[in-house]
Amino acid sequence: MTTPTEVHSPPTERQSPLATRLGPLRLRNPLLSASGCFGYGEEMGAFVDPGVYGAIVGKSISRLPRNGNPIPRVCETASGMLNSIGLQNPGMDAFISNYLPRMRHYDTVVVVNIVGDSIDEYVQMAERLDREPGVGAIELNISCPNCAVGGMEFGIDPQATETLVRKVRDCFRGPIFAKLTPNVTDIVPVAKAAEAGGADVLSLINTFVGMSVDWRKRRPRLGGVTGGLSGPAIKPLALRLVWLASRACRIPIVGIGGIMNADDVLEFLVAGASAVQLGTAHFVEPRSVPRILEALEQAVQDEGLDNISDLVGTLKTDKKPITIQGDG
Amino acid sequence: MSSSTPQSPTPTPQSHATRPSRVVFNRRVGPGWYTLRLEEATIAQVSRAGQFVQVKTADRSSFDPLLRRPFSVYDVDRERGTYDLLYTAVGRGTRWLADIPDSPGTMVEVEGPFGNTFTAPTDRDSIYLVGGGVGVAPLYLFARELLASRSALPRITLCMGARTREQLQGIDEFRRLSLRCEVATDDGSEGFHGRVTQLFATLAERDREPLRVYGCGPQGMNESLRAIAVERSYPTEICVESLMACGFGVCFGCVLPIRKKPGGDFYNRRTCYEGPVFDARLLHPGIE
Repeated sequence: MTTPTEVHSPPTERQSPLATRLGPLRLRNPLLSASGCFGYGEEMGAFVDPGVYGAIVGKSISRLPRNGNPIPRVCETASGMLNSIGLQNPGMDAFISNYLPRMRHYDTVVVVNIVGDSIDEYVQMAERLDREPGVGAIELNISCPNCAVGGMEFGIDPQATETLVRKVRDCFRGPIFAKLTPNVTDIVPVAKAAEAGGADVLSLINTFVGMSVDWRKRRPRLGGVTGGLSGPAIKPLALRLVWLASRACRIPIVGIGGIMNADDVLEFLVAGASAVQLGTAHFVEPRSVPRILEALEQAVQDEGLDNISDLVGTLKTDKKPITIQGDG
Repeated sequence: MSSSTPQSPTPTPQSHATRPSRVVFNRRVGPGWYTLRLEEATIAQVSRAGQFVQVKTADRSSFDPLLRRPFSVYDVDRERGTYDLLYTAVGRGTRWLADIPDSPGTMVEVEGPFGNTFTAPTDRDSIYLVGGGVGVAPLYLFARELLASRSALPRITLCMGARTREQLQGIDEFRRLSLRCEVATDDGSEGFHGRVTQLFATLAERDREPLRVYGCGPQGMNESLRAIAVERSYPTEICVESLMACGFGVCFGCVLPIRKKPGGDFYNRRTCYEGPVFDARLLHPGIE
């Protein structure tokens, strides 16, 4: 019996040094677009063929359309940016009739990211997507810092995470990604809960909640007051969380957080990610993925590896620290 | 009146330059004001008035400042393959730009052009361009397009506003074109003493011809122009500004509440993708 996954995956050349397995998915390479940073592929088509990506993850879809948050919605910070978009999206009906038909023609795996106010909403959307051809996987956004209800509410609670993932698991046959929030004291219990609930892949991480203040005006720089921090500023934080979760879980991890170039990708793989998503990089350099793919092929060749996945989880932490005697 | 609704261009891979732009000059034209001339044939060829480019304002491998900065295309020389940007050095990105030597050679990463354009008036229209600050940039390119494309010389009035006489940047370039130039300064140091929109309202009232108005300026000016245009039913297009992350429709960071048709509901529409030029009747009142 072929699983829906295999049907939906485009063929990959077995010999390709970048070919990547991500749980049940076989991807052309380990580079995915991060949700909310690639739209549904239409606008990005002016710069890059979605087919060059290992997979594309669409902007979050909710059951009903959402208008999003008040303006201003973006604000630059040191080597990063804050956003408070608030999940503006056309809703599931419009997505299925207006966007998914075009996405089905992309020569890559299409991952549909969904967000709900309640477990029921996630389940309803997953049931609906299960019947739609062309959905390679779903990603559960249980980590958005910019909405009043739903989203991150689930992702900060291991029990709620496990229940939600399990209920979606029961009604969706394809692969499930759980996208987790870094805004927790310890990500490991949440990651383990998503795995226990039946997630196939962990997407780590969504943005860090933060804020920016215009002291002269005595006002926040974002209409939503707080927002999600992304970009190179968060890469060290994201790397640590990927590393921690990869040691605690068996399911593969997609690393996310400030990836701008090939070295960043390789750092995440060594730390334990099987693949990565690029988000903010698209805003700055919309052609980053084809450029990074070239550099990755070169790096794999230079390192004498057969396949890029040989690097996954190869971080060496066994070196004994040098301790110094003294009254320090 | 659907003919007055600006159209979004259909983005095609060909419309976006893949090569960096080469600096021709980076001239200081006033206190804190600069004109940057860049050479890149595609952008010079396809840019139209109202469109903008996204300029990386950091060294090649640096991501700080992270985001590109949007600038309206100020002028183009399609034969030489150059285009101009007008900017004021006010923040980290524009100060980085101002530090580029005023000599040829530096390569700058530029994406674009993005966004829609002003729509053409009819031959009968009396055309008003209302601008302030760096908002005069797209109006200058539009004036040049109008003068180049018309067999009969169009009647164009420029109304330019600034705080002081020194801040009336770009006025000399407009004065070299065949159009009527009227200026307003907040302090009365040149021209009309008051707001440029008051000046425009007075001039427009006396005009007996059908008007067609194009505006671009700071948010306060845009809002004032919108209010006048709606109250007096002047067909008006306004090029709006907003904070942006991507500039090409992906991030939804630059939205403003904008109608899809006059009298319709407001939606959070992208200024970079559905705009930046909108019919004044579509804009939300009171955004300053």
